[in-house]
Amino acid sequence: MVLDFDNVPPFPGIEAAGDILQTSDASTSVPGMKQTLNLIGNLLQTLCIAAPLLVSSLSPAWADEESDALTLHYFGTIGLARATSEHIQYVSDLSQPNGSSAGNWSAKPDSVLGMQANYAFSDQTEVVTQIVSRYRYNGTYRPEVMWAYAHFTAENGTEFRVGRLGTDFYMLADSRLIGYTNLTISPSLDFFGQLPLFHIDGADLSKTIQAGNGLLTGKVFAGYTGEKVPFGDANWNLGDSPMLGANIDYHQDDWSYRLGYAQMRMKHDWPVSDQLTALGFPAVIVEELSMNNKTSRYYSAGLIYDHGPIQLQWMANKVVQESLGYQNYYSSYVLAGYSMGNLTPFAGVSRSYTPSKQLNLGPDNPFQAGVDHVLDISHTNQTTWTMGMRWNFRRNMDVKAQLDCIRGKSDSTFLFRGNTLGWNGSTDVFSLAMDFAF
Amino acid sequence: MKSNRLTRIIRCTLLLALMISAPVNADVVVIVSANCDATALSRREIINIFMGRYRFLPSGHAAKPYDLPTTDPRKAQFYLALTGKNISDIDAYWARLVLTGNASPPDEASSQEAMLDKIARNPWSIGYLDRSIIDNRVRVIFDPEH
Repeated sequence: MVLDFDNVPPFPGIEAAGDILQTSDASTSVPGMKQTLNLIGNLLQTLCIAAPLLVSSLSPAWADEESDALTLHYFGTIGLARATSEHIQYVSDLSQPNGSSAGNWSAKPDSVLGMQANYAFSDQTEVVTQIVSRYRYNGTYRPEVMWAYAHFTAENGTEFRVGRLGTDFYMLADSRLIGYTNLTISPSLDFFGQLPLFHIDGADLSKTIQAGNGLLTGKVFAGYTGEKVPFGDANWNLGDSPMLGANIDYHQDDWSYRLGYAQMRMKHDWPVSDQLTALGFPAVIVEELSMNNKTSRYYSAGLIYDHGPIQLQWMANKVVQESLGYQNYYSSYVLAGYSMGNLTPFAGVSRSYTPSKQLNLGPDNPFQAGVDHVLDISHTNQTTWTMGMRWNFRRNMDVKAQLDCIRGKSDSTFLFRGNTLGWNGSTDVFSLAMDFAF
Repeated sequence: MKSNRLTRIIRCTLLLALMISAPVNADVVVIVSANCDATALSRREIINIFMGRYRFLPSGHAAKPYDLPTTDPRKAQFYLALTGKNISDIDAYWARLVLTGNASPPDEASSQEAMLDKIARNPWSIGYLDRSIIDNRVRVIFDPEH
């Protein structure tokens, strides 16, 4: 199933905004503010232009406003982020090639525009399509079909979906682009930042039963990934990789718990292998460091407490890489918020850490430095302190302000782009955003 | 003379402001059809049905919940009494479920009268409205305020 828009002409307006936003790299901080206002204007313009185009391109049935079967939803975030360090590019996750740096405001990390169409054939059968425009691996805002699936619900409550599905092998992972549903502007960089996968082409099956005083939901899923990530001057194709996994959720009153497992076997190698081969590294070392046909295993646990005005989230994960070239990854976060009318202050802390893998080639081996450099690529060791405020200023819309203080070691570079000499592991990120979801 | 008029205007304005800002305090109750086989539902079961977590009645039949229109203040009152959450939090909850394809919010009845008709016609439907307008076609199965 080929659903990517890379090879079709982009929607007007969105590409234009992408081009405009791309040029903001060259901006400096003072005139940058003026450019930033222009960016917001352009983004709003894009919204106005793109929405009707997306609607008309998706569904001729839009004209049938009396139909109850078709429902359309829009969501988006107009966000600005400002990272203080000049030695890294702050991005919201590894699918983005660059973002904010050196005190410049950037709309790239957090801005999202999306549209979803649901068509219900009956109470049991529904088709869903979602298109999202966000800053992507190729430096554009070219829209992407995020989801396109058919959803069947049996009389006994068993649910089956087939098509392009959101990856929800982490709790809340499938809604992380919908800013209005998140307490923070963007989900934790330490926890979600290393996950550039948003969908799979495949199927999932889930069933909820009553267990004790709560509800127990089991889900299994399988499919193929379909995304790319920027990697230096090249791209790494994560697509076509078989993935499967399962979740167990338990929900009782104000508490939700999840345990999850997923695994992915890489179909395509990362660009490092070609670079090492070109540099004359022995084939046996290149093979040890390669990602081709190597399996990544994702283990996760999550807990959410949601009682009246109180929201509390805790999650932890562990990613085990079969390849010796890619570090195993551990991360966790805790986030709390308290609603006071339309205002919700929130605060949290997160941590990401990769216990360094070692590949010793023996004393005085000329390739050791190169091997160590490869292992450094996926290294992180940092803590992020987060605080902010959400204001629901009208129905289905909010404004948020957030400060993230990232404190890490100087070799903690994995979750950023374009790190340069002088990076000390610390940067502050101030973000502003307006979210909507209709 | 001018002073009296000014005082009257201020009083009227304050009264109007109070009327606008005063919370609705209707006696909102959860109802099912008089033909429904469920004799009682707990707060937990009603939350599960209205929040899309588990839409089954104790008999095993699939439940069909209905909401009042968003513009009806009884909707906000109902969810606040049932879950302790304001309507903005409920909106964000549904945005997450709808935009991830995990569940759909209850269908909407256009008015309290329409709600009454829908519930009366379907023994597996469930809704909420002001106690003062219910008739013998439906019965109260839960009072979220108590």
